[in-house]
Amino acid sequence: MFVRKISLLTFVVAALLPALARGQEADTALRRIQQSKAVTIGFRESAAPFAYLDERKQASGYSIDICNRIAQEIGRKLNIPHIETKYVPVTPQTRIPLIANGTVDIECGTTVNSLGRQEQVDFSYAVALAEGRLLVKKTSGIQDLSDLHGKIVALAAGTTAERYVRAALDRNKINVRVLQVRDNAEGLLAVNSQRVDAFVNDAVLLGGVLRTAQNKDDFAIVGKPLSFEQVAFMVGKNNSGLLTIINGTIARLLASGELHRLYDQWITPYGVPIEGEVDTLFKIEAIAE
Amino acid sequence: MNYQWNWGLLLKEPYTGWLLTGLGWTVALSIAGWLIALPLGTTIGIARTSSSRWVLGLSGFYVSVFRNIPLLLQMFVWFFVVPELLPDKLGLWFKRDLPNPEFWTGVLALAFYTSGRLAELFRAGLQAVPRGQRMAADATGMNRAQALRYIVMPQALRIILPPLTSEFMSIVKNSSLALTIGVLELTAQSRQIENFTFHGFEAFGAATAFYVLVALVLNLVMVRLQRTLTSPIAV
Repeated sequence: MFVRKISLLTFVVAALLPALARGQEADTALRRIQQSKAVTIGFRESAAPFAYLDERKQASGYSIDICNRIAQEIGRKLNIPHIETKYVPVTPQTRIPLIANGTVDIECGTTVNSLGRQEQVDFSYAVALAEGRLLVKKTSGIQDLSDLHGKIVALAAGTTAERYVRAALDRNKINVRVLQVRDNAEGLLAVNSQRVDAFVNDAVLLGGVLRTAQNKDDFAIVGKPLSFEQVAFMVGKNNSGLLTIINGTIARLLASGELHRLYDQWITPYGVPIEGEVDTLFKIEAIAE
Repeated sequence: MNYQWNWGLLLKEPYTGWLLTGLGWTVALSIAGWLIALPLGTTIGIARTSSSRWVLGLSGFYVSVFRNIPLLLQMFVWFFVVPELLPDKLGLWFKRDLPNPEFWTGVLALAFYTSGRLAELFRAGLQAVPRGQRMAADATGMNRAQALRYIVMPQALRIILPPLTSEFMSIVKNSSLALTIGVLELTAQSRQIENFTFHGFEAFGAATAFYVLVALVLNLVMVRLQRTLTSPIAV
């Protein structure tokens, strides 16, 4: 009975799978935009300052501002005079399914580019760098990764921090215990309640969550950056036409200095100004006409 | 659908290892939770059939607290609130020095939630045994404890064995909520794989298969147990 149940189940699953995997056509997103005369942007509701819902419940933030300009550019390229922009909220769990099934044309949030992820989706040029740093209590005296030996570190689920933190720890032969927390707010709570000694995440996001803390003077963001990861926009595979427009818009915004202005408006107040690696990145990506 | 399937990914390291450790934590959570929930639930269940009003009221309160509050909320209370209510030193130990604090917090939450449900199950089972059985035990000179131990409980257990099986299956599935307090069990590991590779459908497919497998094995064991325990006389 047991064997029969298993084989029946395997059979049903195997029969359903091919139906899911159909052949892929090129540039489905652009065709969708052409037909509906609207660009659908997937955004994160609580990833300030990159993308969040503001007081008027409108999608807002650095990534959103850039993507609105991209949407206008798509309208010009496709000759759609008053192109509409629709916003669909996404989470780390829903972003891939929503891009795969065509609900979302461009994901504009804080998604980090990686080679593993590129097997599933394509990424635009980077619009920011995620620098992994440590959020600690000032009284803890922790200054850098090397102070963490024998301590407890929190990492946020849905980030790529696990990989670079593990790598950095192994490289320096530092032994820590890792606790996974659900989001940045919980990471702050874990540090505040002394459950962990440090919370590692992108410095901009750490700055964002620190703004919400009541006792923000008790905390510090310390340490040399553990990583430089590219924050980029995401589109489905086989959408080179759309990707060309997105990347072209980013390059032109950089060349004209408008992206720098947006960056200074949104990101610089969180403690990561346009200097060092970010400056270099922006110079390299400002590709000439 | 614009999705690149890659089932082979699941057989690659480190992802296979992640799934298997996840399965290990799921099984460990379920078994540890069950081992606490079963004696606790039995005791409270017996208390629910007591003739003392005090015992009845207290056990009724226990059941309504642990059975009626959503498990997710109970997880959060055990994880975020309880350590802060304890004396400072003990709270810190609970949060930091206890080996695998997330795991044991998850076990506690699962165990208390399940014990509330088990208590009601045992109460129903005990009350389903015909009154005549208890009276007959009285007549042979057994005291209440003996009557419960030798006459009523063995029959009640046989009655509740099928729903007990589904309670055990529930605890396996409920254990996935422990991911919200940082236990890297099966569902958390498949999320992690999705996050690293963006192949979420494959990862969650594998997790589903593992859950089904655990449930089938459990079912098989319980059916065997039920057969060997079948009472020779109809209750």
